[in-house]
Amino acid sequence: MSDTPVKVVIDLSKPEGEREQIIPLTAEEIAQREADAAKAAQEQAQREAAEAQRQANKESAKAKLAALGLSDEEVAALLG
Amino acid sequence: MSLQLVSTVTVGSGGAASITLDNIPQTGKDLLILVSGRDESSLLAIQANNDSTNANYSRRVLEYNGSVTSSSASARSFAVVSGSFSTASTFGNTQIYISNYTSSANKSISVDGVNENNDAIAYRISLIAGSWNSASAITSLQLVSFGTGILQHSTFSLYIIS
Repeated sequence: MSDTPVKVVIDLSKPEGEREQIIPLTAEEIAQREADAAKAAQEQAQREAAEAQRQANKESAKAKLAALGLSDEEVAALLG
Repeated sequence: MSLQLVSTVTVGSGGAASITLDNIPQTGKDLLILVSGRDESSLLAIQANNDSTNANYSRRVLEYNGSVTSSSASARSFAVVSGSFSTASTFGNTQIYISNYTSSANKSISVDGVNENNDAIAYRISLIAGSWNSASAITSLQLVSFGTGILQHSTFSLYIIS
């Protein structure tokens, strides 16, 4: 990427060969982009944290069931 | 039914923050966008008519990252491309389908995409059911990077289905 991010705009109303424009982003567009990126990263982190917690809970449940005397096959049948 | 290629865009040297397909012909029924791409974040937001207001979109995501599955619902739908954690020099691929793009009803958006990591996990496979909740016909589509930019050699092909 160059120092100032650019957007590629394809105007489909124009003939081929004349459609493409490469335009530097405005300050407002850059701010919007940064806000979107932060939100996306936050959402992704939340999803991954939730999944990690779910996996940890599952492993903990397996260990407790095994401690009760269930075989690996029986635990798998219960938890999938 | 016919499938017409309207345009293929290849990102040039230096990359791009977004790709905009403007003045989409209003002659078809559905839109199909095929993407081969790479972006550090691995995600590209899909916007219609330059509408970046998340509240105007809804989505449900089902994804699998090699070890777990998860789902989520919020904001704009996204295309999945290869990212910083993907195998070097690989490009993810995504198919975006938008039905009835000229109608006054909300526009249904379905997305399926993959990226790869040959070393550890196949991060990520994603299926998305989404919509753009607007009565306006889609005349413009944007694919917007959530990372440092869409890398050179990424391609976007727009088809109209009539």
